Amino acid sequence: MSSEKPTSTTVEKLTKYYSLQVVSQERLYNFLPKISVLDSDKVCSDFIHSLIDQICGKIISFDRFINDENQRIVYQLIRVYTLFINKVVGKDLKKEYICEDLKTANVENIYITTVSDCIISRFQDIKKELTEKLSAISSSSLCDFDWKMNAILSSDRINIVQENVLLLNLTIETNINDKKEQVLIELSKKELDHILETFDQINEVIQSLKV
Amino acid sequence: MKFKFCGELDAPDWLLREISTLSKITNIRIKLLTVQVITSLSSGENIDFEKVEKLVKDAGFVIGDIKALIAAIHFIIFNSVKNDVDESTLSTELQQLGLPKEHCDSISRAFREHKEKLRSIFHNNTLKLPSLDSLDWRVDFILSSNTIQEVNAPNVQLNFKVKNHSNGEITNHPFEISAKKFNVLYYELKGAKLLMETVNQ
Repeated sequence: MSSEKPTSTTVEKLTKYYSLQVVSQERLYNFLPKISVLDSDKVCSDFIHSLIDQICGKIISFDRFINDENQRIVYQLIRVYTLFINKVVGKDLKKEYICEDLKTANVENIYITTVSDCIISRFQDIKKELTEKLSAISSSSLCDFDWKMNAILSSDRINIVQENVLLLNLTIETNINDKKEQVLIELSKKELDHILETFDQINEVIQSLKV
Repeated sequence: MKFKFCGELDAPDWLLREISTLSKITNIRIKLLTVQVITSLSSGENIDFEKVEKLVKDAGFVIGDIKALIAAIHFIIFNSVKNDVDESTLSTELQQLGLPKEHCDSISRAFREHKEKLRSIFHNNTLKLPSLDSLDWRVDFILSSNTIQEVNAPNVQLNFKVKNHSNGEITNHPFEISAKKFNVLYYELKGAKLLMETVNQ
């Protein structure tokens, strides 16, 4: 099918779907219509929002959607719709293309509107989160940091010290063996000033890129 | 009796005993010995006993006495620096312990000349956790990825070189951090700096 140009960006279909680039994944989209196991479009909206919450890093329980009969299907839906949401947001698809893809997958009309509405309303959130996750594609990334301020009062060599130091703990996640490495650094005022000077420079560069 | 150079505590008994040994050598020799002790404290090297032996050999001391002398002077200097005593107080207090005035002056004069240097050395040698040696950085601009076709977001690479003071080792800790997370780190540290400044005032 040829490309359409409703907006300035060109959306080309490489497969049956706008959001997929690899034909082998089309098979996964065959599960999309099974969203109809959810009782109503309201439940469906709740379901999609929960999925988006999960993508955005919240810990979500899907128990309320599950009963004895649909357990397997719901788990599949979670997987497939997470993929779908990632794909459409990753490709920056407009609402009409999202609907088009859902239609191609034979999702019922009522669900198409609900699903696409949910995704569009939280499009920026999802995109931000996906961008955030990109720094994890690397040999190591910072996953957390903690700090505390200590006042040194006395020591074995100097009776009265009175100096403040900052203890900075960095949790670095390495992708080799999935290890988390803890780095503890003690910073005196001078060293902290030095770090902040460096950070000022970095921040300037980042700000200049954002403008 | 409490002494300032002992940190407002009693002088230890062994020191009292060695004061009499100290009194037996001339005040010029005391000064030379004090300089030896100060040099070893500031350089972190052991005292050169051969040199010390030459300095006091005609007084007829055995090696045990010499070691005791060194230990006494070491104690006096170390604790005076630690407790930030001024030279006149030190001189007075040593006299109160029974050391002749000239001897006390010899010690306190040598102490005065090196006090600030020793204080800064002691300060630097105070127990330290690993500290930052240097910080390298790079800002990347992500264009595209497998999950998002058009990203266009900056990303920061940081390399913390951390120095471990116990073994002098420098380790590298490189990592990647998104611009958003970097911003959080930046403002947290800025807040910490502000806190440090207000506490210092």
